[in-house]
Amino acid sequence: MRNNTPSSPERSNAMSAIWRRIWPSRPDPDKSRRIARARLLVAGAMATSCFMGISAKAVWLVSGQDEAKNGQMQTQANAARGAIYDRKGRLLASTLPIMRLHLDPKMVLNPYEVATKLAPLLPGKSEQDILKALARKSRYVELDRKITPARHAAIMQLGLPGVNISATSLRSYPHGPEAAHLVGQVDRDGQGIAGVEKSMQAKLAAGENVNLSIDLGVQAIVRQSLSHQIERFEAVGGASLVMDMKNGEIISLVSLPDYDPNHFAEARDDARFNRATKGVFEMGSIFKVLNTAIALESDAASLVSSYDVSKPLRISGYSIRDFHPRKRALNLSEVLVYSSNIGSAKIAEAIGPEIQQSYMEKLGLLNRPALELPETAQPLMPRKWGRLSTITISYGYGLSVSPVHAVGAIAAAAGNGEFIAPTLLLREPDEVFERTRIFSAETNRKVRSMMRLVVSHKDGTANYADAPGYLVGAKTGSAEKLKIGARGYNKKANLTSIVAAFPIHDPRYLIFVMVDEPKPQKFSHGYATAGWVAAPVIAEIVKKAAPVLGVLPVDIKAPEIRQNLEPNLNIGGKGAIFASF
Amino acid sequence: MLGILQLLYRLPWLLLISAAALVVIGTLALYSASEGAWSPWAERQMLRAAIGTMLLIVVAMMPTPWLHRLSYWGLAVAVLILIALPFVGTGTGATRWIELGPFNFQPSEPAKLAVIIGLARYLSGQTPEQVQSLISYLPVMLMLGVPFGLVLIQPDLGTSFMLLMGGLAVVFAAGVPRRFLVTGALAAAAAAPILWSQLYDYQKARIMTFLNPEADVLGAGYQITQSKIALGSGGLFGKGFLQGSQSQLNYLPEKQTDFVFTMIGEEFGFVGNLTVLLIYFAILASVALTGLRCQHRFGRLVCMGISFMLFLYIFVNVGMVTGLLPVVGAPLPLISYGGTAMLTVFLALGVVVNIALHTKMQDSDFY
Repeated sequence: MRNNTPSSPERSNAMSAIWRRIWPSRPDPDKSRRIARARLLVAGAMATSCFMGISAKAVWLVSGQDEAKNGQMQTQANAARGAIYDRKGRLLASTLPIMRLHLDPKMVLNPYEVATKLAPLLPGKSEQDILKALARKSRYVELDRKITPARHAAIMQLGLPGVNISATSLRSYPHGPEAAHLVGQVDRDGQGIAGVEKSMQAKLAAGENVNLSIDLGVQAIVRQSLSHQIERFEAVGGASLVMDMKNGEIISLVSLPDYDPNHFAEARDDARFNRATKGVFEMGSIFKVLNTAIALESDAASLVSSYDVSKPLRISGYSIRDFHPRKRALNLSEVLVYSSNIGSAKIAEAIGPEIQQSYMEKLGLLNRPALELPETAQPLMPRKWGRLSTITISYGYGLSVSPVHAVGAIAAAAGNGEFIAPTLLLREPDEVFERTRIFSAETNRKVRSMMRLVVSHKDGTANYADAPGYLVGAKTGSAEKLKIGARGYNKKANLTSIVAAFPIHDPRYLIFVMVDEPKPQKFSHGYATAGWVAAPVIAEIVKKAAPVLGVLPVDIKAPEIRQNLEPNLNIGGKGAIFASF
Repeated sequence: MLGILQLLYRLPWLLLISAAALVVIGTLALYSASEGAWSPWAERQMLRAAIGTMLLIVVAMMPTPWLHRLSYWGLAVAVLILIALPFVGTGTGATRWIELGPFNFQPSEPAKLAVIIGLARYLSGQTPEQVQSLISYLPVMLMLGVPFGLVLIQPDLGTSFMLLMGGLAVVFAAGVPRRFLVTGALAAAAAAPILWSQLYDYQKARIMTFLNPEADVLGAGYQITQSKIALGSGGLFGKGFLQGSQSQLNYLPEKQTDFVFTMIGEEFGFVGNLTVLLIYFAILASVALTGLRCQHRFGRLVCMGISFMLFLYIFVNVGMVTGLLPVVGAPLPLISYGGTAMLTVFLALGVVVNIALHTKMQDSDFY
């Protein structure tokens, strides 16, 4: 082969032949015209059919919409849309009959007469406004949507042609922004397009009322506490959920910023977005609660297991570090209380990917939740659930879920061990619903005792979450947010969250609070972590909402309370101290 | 040089009148979008149209061989600007714009035109036999792939694909063999799942929303749902100028840019939309016919590429607002508010007029 090298002139010929093929200088003969003509015909045919397709779609939209309107008029004639109430019967949404005043400029005989006679009866409208309205080239100009009966009569008395009044209805939300996202919205034809208004459309349209599990009082407390903290920390938004762990009822659901559903058109896109159910986030360290519970339940760890966290853990090119490194071995409860990533990673390795994934599945974290809202989210899962994913998921990275997902799953670990799908509808007293046992009472007792230590121990991260007498247990999480439009994490944009259960000896309510992108403040000594931002919100909600929910303060030293907590926890070489001083 | 009568005779009147009509319709729509006011959109759009007209005249009066000679330089400059963009550009999330004093300039728009003309020059120098051989496509891949990649990583999925398709239209018109077409289509189909996994979440959300906009009417599906409501409520003849409730009450987002077709539909009805589409069709046909009448291959390929580029703008935009295609953000040529796209279209039309004025020129005149 080596001997067969072509001589140099041949080679240069071959090279230039190739070069001429790539970069020729000779223009081509007529043949190309025929090709162009044929190809143009093909392209033209394709373009024409695309245009036909678009036109057909436009025709379909025009005709389809008309049918929908006709159908709507019939249902409106049948029954007024049902109302929406909270758990104590307070009105969240109802339909009011209203009178609408409108003009037909073509029928008006003397515009000046109409303007002078009508203006005194319409507060906020001058003669000029009415003349302007009459100058429009339309047969329908709306002047007022809400005419009182007295004015209605007065206007009819004027007997002006072209001044018309027609009966219509208005969907009203008496509490304004208080429960904006969950109640939702109707379109101008009165059909639900968001929230409960949409998910319960069939029932509401048939004239039936809907009773939600929401407690408007708690809702107001949560919304106020959260928005106060968002303001103090100049955050971009936040979300909060309160759930009854005994039956899955959501007592409060807040997403901020919000909007006034009575003036929906003015709401910004950001305000319309329901962060509590539709937004998915990497939850960060609050997932360590699940990691600990899964480890205990699957016998991958026990209270005496010990994990060396003195050196960063290196795995497939990544380095896992702790926020507050400790130069010794930690036991299982210390890993949770000190929130050690290295320790959690080692626990997760003992659990293994298959078991972790199967628990996440059972805890509803891998599917869209069965919540009664159209605005729910599909979690974002790792493409391949391998060793690295198992480790990062243990401390809340790599699996993005919505707050409502997190609440459902953590309630099983911190409550009584059963997974109950969160619901927005009020349960009947004797209602039987689906509940799946996932964790034993033994595991639960250990996990919630550790959560109490996160609040009560001086080295815990959630000291500010404590509300004396109510025995709050919690876990904080401060996660870096993914960069927008690029890969990697943004060290400056944090998502701080906390999940808390109370009263911890007989857990009833789970509270989740998330504050999005808080900025460090002077009064927080430059910190914008969950312990500073999210934890105080829990304390405030518990203090104010416990009386509303009928939870009474207790004495932690009472033996009947002590027996519900795990005594064999060891933090910093000392035994567990559950009380806060 | 051409005599004045000859010039008037050869001018593509259908093209110019249609373009002027679209500018008028666009200005009226923008006037209505700001609730019956010249500012902020309508007046600036008119200014841009004036600048665009001057550009058109300059380009149209050039000797055609200049265009041919400038083509590679134009492509090179476009690529250089795209390379420099991450360092000098601005934009939320994606870097797509360069701020030039009071103007925002989006380099990926003229890059579409530069790719078309550059490819047309290269392929017009290839004989039909050479076009049969794979080796001829190495430069094509380079000239098409580099700008495509640069726009894709901005990231701007929609524009990068339109750029790719515009270039491929030139390759198609140049007579790429059918076996390559089939292989290419199969390869694209095979690559689709890989591409899907590489998309950003917002891009996936848009495509999922396209498949089922009613799933999330307040979030990702909001624009499309409002757009459909507005189009449907316009009915056959529309609600009348300045009377569209969806657009006048700000239910319709981006009504001055990407969703302007919807606004026209609401105020002038199906008839209004159909009129706009017919005018576009006239422009496309006129550009394509100019290409067919042209004696030289360069002009043919340029016209084919430009008509396809215009077609893509229209199809992607109208497809988007009627819910036939996902929301990718494409302007409606000459109507939407937006400077770079409008000037690019004017430049492209200038090139077409130039070619129309010199259809008798032969291939050999370029060398």
